[in-house]
This record gives sequence, structure tokens and C-alpha cells, in this order.
Amino acid sequence: MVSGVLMKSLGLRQARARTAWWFLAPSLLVLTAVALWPLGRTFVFSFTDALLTEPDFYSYIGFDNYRALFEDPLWWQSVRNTLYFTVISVSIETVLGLTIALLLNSHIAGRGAMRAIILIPWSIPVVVSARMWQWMLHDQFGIVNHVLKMAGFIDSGIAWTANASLVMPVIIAVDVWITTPFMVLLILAGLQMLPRGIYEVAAIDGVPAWKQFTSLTLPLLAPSIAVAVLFRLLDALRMFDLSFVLSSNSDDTKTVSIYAREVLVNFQDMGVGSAASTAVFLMIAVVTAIYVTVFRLNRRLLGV
Amino acid sequence: MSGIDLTDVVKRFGALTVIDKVNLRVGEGEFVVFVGPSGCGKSTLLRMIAGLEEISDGELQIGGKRMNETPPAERGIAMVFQSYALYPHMSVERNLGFALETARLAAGEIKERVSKVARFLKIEHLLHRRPAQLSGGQQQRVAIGRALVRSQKLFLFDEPLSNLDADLRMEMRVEIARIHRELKATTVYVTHDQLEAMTLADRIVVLKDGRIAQVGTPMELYERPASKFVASFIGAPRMNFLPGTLRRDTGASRLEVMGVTHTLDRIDYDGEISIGLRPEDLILGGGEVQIPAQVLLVEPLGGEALVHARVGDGQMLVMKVQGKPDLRPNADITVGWMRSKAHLFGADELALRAAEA
Ligand SMILES: Nc1ncnc2c1ncn2[C@@H]1O[C@H](COP(=O)(O)OP(=O)(O)O)[C@@H](O)[C@H]1O
Ligand SMILES: [Mg+2]
Repeated sequence: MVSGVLMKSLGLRQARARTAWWFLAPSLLVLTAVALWPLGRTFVFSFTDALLTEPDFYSYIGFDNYRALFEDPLWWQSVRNTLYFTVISVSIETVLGLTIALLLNSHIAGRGAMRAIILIPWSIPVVVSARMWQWMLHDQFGIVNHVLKMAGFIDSGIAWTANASLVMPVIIAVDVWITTPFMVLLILAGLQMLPRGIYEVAAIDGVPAWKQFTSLTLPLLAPSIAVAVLFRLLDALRMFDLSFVLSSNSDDTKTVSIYAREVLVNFQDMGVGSAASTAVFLMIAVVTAIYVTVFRLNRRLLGV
Repeated sequence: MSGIDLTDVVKRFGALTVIDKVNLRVGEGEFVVFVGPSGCGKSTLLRMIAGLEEISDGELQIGGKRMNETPPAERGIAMVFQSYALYPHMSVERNLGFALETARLAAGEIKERVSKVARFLKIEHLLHRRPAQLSGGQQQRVAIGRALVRSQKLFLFDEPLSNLDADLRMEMRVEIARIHRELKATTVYVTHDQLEAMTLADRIVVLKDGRIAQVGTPMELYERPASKFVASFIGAPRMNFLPGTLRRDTGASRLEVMGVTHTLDRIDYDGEISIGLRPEDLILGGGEVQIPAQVLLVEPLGGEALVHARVGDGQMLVMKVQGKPDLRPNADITVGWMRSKAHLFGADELALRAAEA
């Protein structure tokens, strides 16, 4: 009798699993075609001496491509640039996004309109935004220099994207402008799911606003923030378009993605290019794994 | 010093007046219950006392001091919500101690007070769990514990038992009564359940459309309801109402109901009225006034039974009788009552009383 019920429920679970697989099948198929297959091919090519012009003629050369890659100081500079860009821009976007989300979530006048307006930068394609900023930052005709000159801060236009020490901050600033709305949106969604009643209890119990923020809002919001940060991390680590448009030839802002493309397209070297792409993929995978592990650990420690 | 004085208190949401000139005094240590149908403004009034809603007009005093502008934390209150509003990411222990932690009490003292309250509410074994790992009743105990731990002099409850099933509700009702008996804190308790009001309250405040319909002890409201609304709200099963006609005479009044006429002490009223009769005041086959009826249905409740009967042309009556009466549907019976048990309401739905001799 009991085992019969068990059997039946097992059968039911299997049937459910089978249904689930049927539903997943189309997307798995597409995923294989557009992601897994190219990824596998890239991985294979990274052990060959293939050239982009004749990808069908190649021989396996073991780890030579990786050796060449890891001996190239420019690769390591790209890695440093990418990590620097990622850490700084995602940090700023998180803090800024959280601040704006908190403001929009409070009962200020006109927040409905604000919510719509704030999304505009994010809804513009990155290449368009980048071009727009390129013009605004132009050393002779750009509005930024124009305003600064009018205000008397500078005498002659600054070459924002040509100056080695300015170009990375500029790219980070533009990225912050573009993607902070995304952060705001995700964090705002998290904020609106927080239980309202606990703040009334806290108000009655005399919990000051800052402590409500650190002890209630932040821990309860942590999962939302963590997901938003993860999305941004993945995005920032493979950043290509912004750097490419704003300062395509500068080594100071070369990201690993630009490096990989350069080797592949400019030098026609499919082997090293594939090795670089594989390395980018591994880098992102490792960072994500570390992040997810740390966050899970943190949650357990904090007891969130 | 935790008595409450409400003077001409008004709450408006935009153009909508939700609380309309409420005057009420809650004595120190008193247990006052706000009852009324959903949407009558009970929660709003309570939240105005707590400081969670602004007071549009009038004055609120607690302990003799004006409190209209005082932030909630400084009103010396503790509040329990219907949703419990426990901190979901904290253990029960930390939920209980959080306010004390904020008030910068020493860790030892916090632990002591938390465990004292936990013992008092029998939730010691739950201290290390999260709210999500508790049953509804346990969550409610924790919510009450969190209010107790700060030893305030004024407790506010907003429908604390509404999310519990019937058994737990009874258990927690007894618990809340015990807490009040032992701590003697002034308590304002909101519910839509008249049974909770009757069993817990020193005094009941019946609210209707943002106004006080009547204030009194449970027995006063039960025995002398001031209006048809209060009469039908207090008591279960609900009071029966029959139409009748009252004729003023010299020295006496004559009441005609369902074709039966009898005399009463003189009441200064002449015309159509409504006669309110509680199911437990009706007598099967007896009483000073008797009218014919037909049995519709008998609901046995064990020790007693509810008899549903039809009188006149389609009027319904419910009557509570002891034991299990041997009645079949459609049986002819007489239903009666003692004259002193009938509640009379005029056309304005207010209670009519015999004129002073
Ligand atoms: N924030 C608000 N804005 C507008 N109307 C409200 C608000 N809060 C409550 N009300 C209205 O006030 C009335 C009383 O509400 P409430 O006090 O919650 O009733 P109760 O607790 O007696 O069920 C209801 O009609 C409700 O719709
Ligand atoms: Mg309510």
C-alpha cells in the first residue's frame, strides 16, 4: 500500500521531469547552436595554428598558442585594464544605483516620471551612446569642453579620449552613465518586495533610520543587489563596444575582448585569437564562480 | 501614565473622512477593544494613536501629554500587527532583542529580558529559528513577545488573531487575557470578531463609518445596545428583528407584533418599530409574549441546538434551545419571550426606552 503510493509519486515525478525536458528542449537546442558549438570550436582552434584566411588547413600545436598569449605583455595589460574597469565601474554603479533606487522608492514628488526618465540612458544602444559621448567629449567641438571653458575652468579644450591618464576614467564615467539605470531598476524591484510592516515596527521600537537601513534594508536587499552585481560583472568583464568606439587604438583601455578580436582580425591569427577567447571565457567563469561562492558563504555567515 | 484621551479626532485621506470627530478616554490599565465591520476605521484610529498615521484634526493625549506631533518611538507604546511583521532575516532571539539592542542595553541584560519573555510565552525552544520556520501561532507569540520585551505601558494590537485558525485563536485569546492580567498595561485591541471583543474587553468601542456607535462594557452592550447596528453586531448568533407597531396610551404603551398585542411600560414613541430578540432569549412554547411559528431546520450543536423558524409571512427567527428538541421541519410551534428581554428600535434605528415614571 505504502510502496504503491511511493511508486505512484515517483512515477509522477518522472513524468513531470520528462515534461520539463520537453519544454526545455527548444531553448537547449538553440543554446547549443549559438553558444556551445562556437565555444567548442573556439576551444579546439586554440590548440591549432589555423589562420583566419584559411580556417580549414591547420595542425595541432599543443599549448603553443597559450604560451604565446601568456608571454605577451599586452595581454596582461588587457587583463589588468579589464579587471580595473570592472571593479571600479561596477562598484560605482552599485553604490549609485542603490542610492537612486532608495530615492525613487521614497515618497518624493515626481518619482513616477523620474523612474521613466532614468531608464533612457540604458535604452540607447551602447554604440550610439558611445558615439554621442565621443562628440560631447571632442577636444575642439565637444560640449563638455565648451561648458568648462565658458565656466572658466580651462583655457583650451582637453583631449578626453586621447589623454592616457584620462581615457580610462572617461570610459568608466560613460559606462556608469549607461548602466546605472539597469542597477536602479533591479534594486528598485528588490526594494518594492521588502515587507512594509517591519518598518512600522521599527519606527515604533525606536530603531533609527540608519539602523533600519543597515540592519533591515541592506540584508533583505542583499540578494537583489547580488544578482544585479553579478549581471553587471559578467557584462563588464567582456566589455568591448565602449572602449572600441571611444579609444579603439589605445593600449590603456584595451580590454581582453578587444585584444582577442585584434589578434584574430588584425593579425589573422585564429590560434592565438581562439586561445585569448578561451582565456576570456575562463576568466569570466572563474570570477563568477568565486563571486557566487563568496556570496553564498556570506549569506550563510550573515544568516540572510 | 498611559491613559489615552482622544478629543474630536479626525482623519482625512484627501477628501475622504475616515475618522470623524472621535472622543474617547481609555483609563490607565484598561483593556479597550475597537470592533466594527471591515473598513469602519478601526485600524486607522489605532494607527493614529501609534503615530503611524497623522492626525488631521483634534488632539491625542497619552498620559496627559499632547502626542499629535510626537514620533511613534517616543509615545511609550508597543504594537502587534495582524501580519506579525517579524524581521524575516533574524532569528527569533534577535527579533525579540532587536529593539533593546538599538536602545544600547548591555548584552547580558538583553539576553536576560529576552529569555524571560520567551519563558513567559513558552517560546524558549524556538529562539534559534527563523520566522519562516515557525507556524502561524508561534509567529504570533514571537510578535507579542517582541512587544512585551520593551516593557512599555501601552499595548496596541491590530487584529492579532485574524490569521489564525479557530483553535489557535482561542488559545491566543486566553494568552492575551493572561498577559493583560499579569502586566496590567493599558491595551487597545482592534478586532472585527465580536467574540474576541466580548471575552477580552473591559470596555468595547463599536465603530461604524468612522464614528463611535457605542462605548460600554461587554454586558452593557449586550443588554442595552444603543442602536440596531450595535445590537446586531454584538452577540452570536445575531439578534433577530421583527417588525411591530407601538401605540402610546395614557400610562402605558401597546405593542403589536405578528398579530399579537401586549402592553408595556409607557414609551414616548408612536409608530412602526423593530423588535430585537436574541436567539438565547427566545423560549420554545413559553414566555410572556407568544407568537405562532413553523420549524424550518434544527441545527444540533451538542448540548444545545439552533432552531430556525418562520413566523408570519416569511420572517425568519433563530432560537437557541437546550438539549436536542424533538422537532420536525414544518412542525407548528409557538415562540415566546419575556417582555423585559425585547429590544425596541425606532424608525431612526436607535433604541427606545421606557419613559421614567
Ligand atoms: N492610506 C489610505 N488612503 C486612503 N484611504 C485609506 C487609507 N487607509 C485606509 N483608508 C480607508 O479608510 C477606511 C478605514 O480603513 P481601516 O481603518 O483600515 O478599516 P478597518 O481596520 O476598520 O477595516 C477604509 O475605507 C479604507 O479604504
Ligand atoms: Mg484593519
